[in-house]
Amino acid sequence: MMRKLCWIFICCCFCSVVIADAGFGIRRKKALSIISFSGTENLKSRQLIYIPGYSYDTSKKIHYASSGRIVDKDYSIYTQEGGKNWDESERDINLLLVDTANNRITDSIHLFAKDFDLHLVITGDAGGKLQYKTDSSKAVYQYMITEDKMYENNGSYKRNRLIFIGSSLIGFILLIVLFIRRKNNINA
Amino acid sequence: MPLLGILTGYFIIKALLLWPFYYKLKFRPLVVGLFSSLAIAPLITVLYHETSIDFSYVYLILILMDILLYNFLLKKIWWKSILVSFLLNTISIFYFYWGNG
Repeated sequence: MMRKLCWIFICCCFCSVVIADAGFGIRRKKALSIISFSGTENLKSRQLIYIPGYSYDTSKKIHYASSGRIVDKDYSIYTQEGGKNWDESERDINLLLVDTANNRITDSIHLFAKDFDLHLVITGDAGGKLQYKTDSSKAVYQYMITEDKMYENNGSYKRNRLIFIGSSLIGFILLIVLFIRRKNNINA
Repeated sequence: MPLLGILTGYFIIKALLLWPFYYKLKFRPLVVGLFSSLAIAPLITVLYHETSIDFSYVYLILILMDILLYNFLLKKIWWKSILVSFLLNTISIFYFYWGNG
């Protein structure tokens, strides 16, 4: 009896240490946010330049005007989907409106993309200021069945989520069946 | 983490590692491990990504559930079920965190 109690005590101590050290509060992978654009053709003699948040330094704006990624109508920005080394600043989306004639920045926009997908509808650039409106919709976690990257971000997350929930239900039902059969065996 | 990945990992941890503790019962520990993996692994993945539940509680609930499962479906030896449940759930929660980040 004492031996068993010792085993249980050692086990409890081990698990307490594990709980204390495991870092159960680590940041969870959140759904990635997708930022898409439309109406970029409404920009007259100006371009929209995207600068990722983690590399953005306001003192170097002129440098970015020529080196940033030009946003066109097919361009989408995916924020990093998380993990242990995830940097919150990668959710920051900085956009610069640059006059193509003299490479001068006329406007800058800052967006924060977290938990929501954003869609920017650009209506014009009157007076050097970007005119736009933002539509947002809830971002969803992309559940995967296999490791195949082809199946990522293809909009099948709802079906995959149902498969996750369904397989869990099947597991519980099978456990209940096992339990009932065990009782019947005992009664027999 | 993909469903097949987490199910495979949980089957290895909760069924194959469980078998040596109850090897006299032949295939029954493997079946119990398989079914409990199927029930738990996808559920906690959904809970992890879509809720903000403190996972230390989930960890404790899983341990309690496995203690009951091993006692009622395998063999009624309480000290062994507590020991095995602690051990396997600790390994599996590490695997879960490794896979889900």
